[in-house]
Amino acid sequence: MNWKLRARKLAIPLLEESLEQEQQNWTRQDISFEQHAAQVLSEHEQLKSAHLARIERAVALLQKRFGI
Amino acid sequence: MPNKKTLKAEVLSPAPQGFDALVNIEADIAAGRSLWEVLGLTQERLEQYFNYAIELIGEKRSEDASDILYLLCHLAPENATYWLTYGYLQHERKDYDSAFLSYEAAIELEPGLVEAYIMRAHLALEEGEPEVAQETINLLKERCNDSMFSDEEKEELKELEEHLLGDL
Repeated sequence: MNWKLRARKLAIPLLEESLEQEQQNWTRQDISFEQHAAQVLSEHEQLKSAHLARIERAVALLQKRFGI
Repeated sequence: MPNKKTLKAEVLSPAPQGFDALVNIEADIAAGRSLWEVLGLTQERLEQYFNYAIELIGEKRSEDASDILYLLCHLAPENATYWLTYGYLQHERKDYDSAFLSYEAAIELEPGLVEAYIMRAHLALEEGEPEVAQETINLLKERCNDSMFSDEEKEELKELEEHLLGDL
């Protein structure tokens, strides 16, 4: 198990592979795969922003406490 | 559909404000290095950060503590204690998915860490998954002998098993 990869997955799911796989098996008629991919990427962007915000808050706390 | 190249660029685009290393860690994964090493931090420094997070928990500043533990899990994903503590905190904050994943990470990293199994089983029970709780307990008994349990952990295991008898 690659724990660095797991740490990343905790914050940001690795969507690239799952999207590619989904595209191959796409059968839904109510939504195109392009629309679905756009939604997923938008959610992913939000996750990434939340991830960065947490990291920034943590760094700010440590900077305040330890002056790093 | 965005083509593969665009998709990759969007998903893995560099983060702003110099945090690239904390987001795009493929190079580190390939090199087998943890971020704390890449960033030139020391184990002593990481311990200071961890102790600060514990201090914050004591002050009931759980969101601040959670942010620092989250950072520590990214800086040193090989450390089972960081995962367990982060899991415990997220469990308390009702972020069950992160808590479960974190307990699982702690167990995988340190198979003798009794507390991580107990917390994972508790969480599974709370989430209405007694089978998962039972699986966790079975794994715990398989991997950890009696001498590895504290008195408190023995008591907790007993309570969990009694609870499971009613659930399964």
